[in-house]
Order: sequence, then C-alpha cells, then structure tokens
Amino acid sequence: MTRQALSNQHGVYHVPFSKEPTQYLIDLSHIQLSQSMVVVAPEAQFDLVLLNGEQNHTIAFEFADHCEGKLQVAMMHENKNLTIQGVVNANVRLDAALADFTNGKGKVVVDFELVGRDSNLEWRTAALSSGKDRKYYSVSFTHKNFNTYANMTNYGVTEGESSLQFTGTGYIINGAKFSKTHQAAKIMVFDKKCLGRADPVLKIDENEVEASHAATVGKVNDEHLFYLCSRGLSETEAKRLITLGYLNPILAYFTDESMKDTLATQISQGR
Amino acid sequence: MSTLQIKDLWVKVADIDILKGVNLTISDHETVALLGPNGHGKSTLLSAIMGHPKYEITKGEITIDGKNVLEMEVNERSKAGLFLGMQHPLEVPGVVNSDFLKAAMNVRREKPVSLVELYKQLGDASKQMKIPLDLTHRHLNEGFSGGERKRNEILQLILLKPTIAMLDEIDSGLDVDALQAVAEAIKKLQKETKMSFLIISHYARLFQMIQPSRVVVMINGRVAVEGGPEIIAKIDGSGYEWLSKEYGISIKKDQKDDPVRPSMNTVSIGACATNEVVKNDKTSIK
Repeated sequence: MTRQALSNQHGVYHVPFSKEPTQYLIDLSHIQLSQSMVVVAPEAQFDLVLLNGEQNHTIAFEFADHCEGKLQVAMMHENKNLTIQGVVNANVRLDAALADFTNGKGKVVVDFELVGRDSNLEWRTAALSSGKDRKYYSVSFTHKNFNTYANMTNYGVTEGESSLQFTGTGYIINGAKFSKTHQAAKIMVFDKKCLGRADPVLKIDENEVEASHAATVGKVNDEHLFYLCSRGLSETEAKRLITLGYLNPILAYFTDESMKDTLATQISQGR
Repeated sequence: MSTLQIKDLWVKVADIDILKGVNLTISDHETVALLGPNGHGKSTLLSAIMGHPKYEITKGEITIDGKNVLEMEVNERSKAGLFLGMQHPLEVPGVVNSDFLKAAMNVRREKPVSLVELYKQLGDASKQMKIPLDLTHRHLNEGFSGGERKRNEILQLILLKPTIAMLDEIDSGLDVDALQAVAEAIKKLQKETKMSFLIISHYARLFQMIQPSRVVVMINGRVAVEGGPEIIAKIDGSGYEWLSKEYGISIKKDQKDDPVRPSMNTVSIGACATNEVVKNDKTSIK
C-alpha cells in the first residue's frame, strides 16, 4: 500500500471514495492551525494515519455512510493536548488504534458520536507513562442510533514518578435500541511513586442494550517476577518483557512498517 | 562442573520454621532423588536455594563452588548455574515464550543468540519435548495444559543448560508419553552434560527411568536419611513409617504445608457464611 499525504485547504481534508483501501497521512506537525477537519466520503475504503504535532490540536472526523477503514494514531512528539472528535454515520466500520509512548504532560480526548444506525467502532489505546510524565486519556462513545456497536480496550504502563489515567465513557441515549457498548482498561503500575487510575463510566438511557466494563490497575505480580528472574533475567529485563507484553500488541494494528519500527523503538527506550 | 553445598540451613515462612538445619551437598554429575512426606520442606528447600522472596533464611549457608548464593539476586543464582523447574509453572500473560527464552539465553552468553540459532535450538528442543513449535510463540504458559507447562520447564532446562537442575515434582500431572519425554530428556542431559540433578518426586516410576545415584529423605524440615536407590523401593513399598521404626524418627503429622500455597483449609470463599451456620445452628441460609 502506498502512502499519500492528504491535501488540505484551511485545515479541511477530504478522503475521496476509493474501492481499495488507500493510506493517507495526516501529519499535524505540518499545519499551523489549532483545528482541522477530515471528511471521509461515502463508501470509501480508507487507511488514515494521524501523527500529532508540537501544539495543542483538535481534529474532527466525519465518517459518511458505508465507509470502512482504519484510523491509526501515533504520537510522534512530546504530547500536548490532542482532541479527536468523530461523527460516525450509518453502516460505518471503523477500526482505530492510538499509541502513545512519548514523554510529556498531556491530555488526549477521544469523543465519538455514533449518529447513524448499524455502525461498528473498535478503539484501542496503548500508553506508556514514565519519568515525570502526566498522561490522561478520555475515550468516550455516544450511541445515538439503533444497533450501534462500540468497544474500547485501553492498556497502559506507568513507571517512575509518572501518572496515567484512563476514563472510558459509554453513553447510550434513549432511543438507541439494540446498541452495544463495551470497554476494558488495564494499567500496570511498576513503581511506588507512580499513579495509575482507570475510571469506567456507563450511562444507559435505553433498555434493550448491552453494556460492560472492566478495569484493572495493579502492580507487577511478584511470582511472575520471580519466575522470569529465576531464568536469569534481571528485574529490569523482566519488567521490560512485561511492559512489551502490555504495549506491543497495539503494533499489530499499525500497517506501516516504518511506523511500527518507530513505535517499537519508543517502547524499548521508555524502559 | 559445580558443587552445591548447604550447611545448617534454617528457613522461615510467615514466622514458622520450615527448614530446621538442612545439610546437603550435591557434587558434580550426580542425580539426587529428594523424597519425604508432604509438608516436610522439600519444595521449601528448592525455592529457598533459588531465592524466592517469601522464604526468609534465618541461619546457615548455601554456596555454589564456594560462592555465597545467599548474597546473590535471583537472576545471579540462575547465571551461577542453578535452575528450578517449578511444580506449578505460572502463566505470565503478555510475555511471549520465545522472547522470554531468547532473553534468558542471552543473559548467559557474550554474544546475543542469532535468530537462526535460536530457532534451531528451539526447534530441536520442542521436537525432543514433543511440544508444538507454535506453543513457543504463545504467551508464557498461558492456556498451556498442565502437561505442556511441565514440558515447557524441561524445554527451558535444555536451552539454558544449568549446572545444577532442581526439579520440583516435574512428573506430577503428566501422562505416560509426557513422562517418557521428560525422563528421556533428563537421561540425555545426564549422559551428554555434567549437569547435576536434585529431583523431588512422589513416584518411583520417574526414578526407575532416570536412575538416581543417591537418595535423600527429608523429614521434619531436615535431612533424615541419605542412601542409595534401594531407599526408593522401600518407600514406594511401605511408605515412610519404616523410618520411624528403623531410625527412631518421629514423623510429625499434619506439619504446616507450604504456607505460600494456601491449602484447602485456608481458602476462605464462603467461609464466613459457613462459620455462621456452624456457630449458630438455628441460622439457615435463606
């Protein structure tokens, strides 16, 4: 798959109709504006790669009916605040992943509204917080129509004196019958001075729906550590392997090999 | 080429003395069978040698070739040549088996193992242990059956080549074929390397296959009897009772089982409700 840079006018990108998935790059470090918009054409097959810039930014997506594809978000710069908004119309299939292994203090807000019926949204986050990082991620889905499905899986590792917080919100409004909203969060807390927190929120205003949440925040299991160390791995190496186990699976959702390498390097340098 | 020496070792777990003065030496190229009734300190001894953080050593010394093991971190003990094949190998979610094996092999080499060599060794060892190679790409022990986990322990033993291999009930829960594979692997290592073994098992069958050179029986937290392989047949035939007659050792019954592992008695699911019922027989669960 070849990657193309999307042309834009005043911060508005258009993803054209395409039968085959086409990869487009949106590199926020190239735009000076603090807001931008991406409009995906009906029935388009797409593979969007979003890289953050050095400034706070809000990017709004509009996914038209029957479009299908991937959204890969990778943090390439020390993260400031990034807001990703999405309006999801009918019969959309969206598979999204966000990887943040950079250093810094910042907030990532992801807010999708499933306004059309029968849409399907998968979201995954993998985040590493180390040193004195302060990281906060809020992922929320609002189900506004029949039979919409959304699932999020947020994985994080916090170490040193850093903090990492996930808030996941699933909101099914009155009338959005047969919708399903699911979420899971898992944070590994390595050191005494770091803080991990997961807040799952479900707001359900309709009866015939499915909803679930799961959250685990915990320190590394001493027995696991003993097992790995008893084979000669130092505690640092053992923790590194466990970190990789938490964060590496996100790489499977990134299609670009060079970006995969960059992210893998970020993970290994984090420890 | 290693000698492991344990002198007057006292070990405490949760303020209870489990080992009370263990003396044991394992020299080069020996296979020692470690026997004894349940809860008399066999597993504790092996875990304490490996440096499990829950075991507190209150007295005594452990050395490997004269070097003080007690001052070493767990990983240094491994690098010094010690290996513990666990009775209950843990699932470590997220950690990929082959990544783990590669890391474990690399810590004992100057040059990192090449991918080609890693896969050759992994392939050979998997074949020998009859483990499907795709198991090595899965997460460590996750979703492995009991038998697969035990075979995976021996696979690690083959790849890491320690000088002293301690195996804790490696044969429990194995079917006939798996037991055969484990025994064959041990025999091969006995023949081709100078590895010494310290093996806990409750079954004579494994020992018949691997022919230990010496037998050590632990009772009441110390080594009670040492001798030749004939002891195994005797214990297998008539239990541990003859020891009290022949050697005048009284075997303490119901000695605290390995406190790290909760026994059925200490599992407390639903215990409150049950206790209430027991205390007040008028109470009924509605």
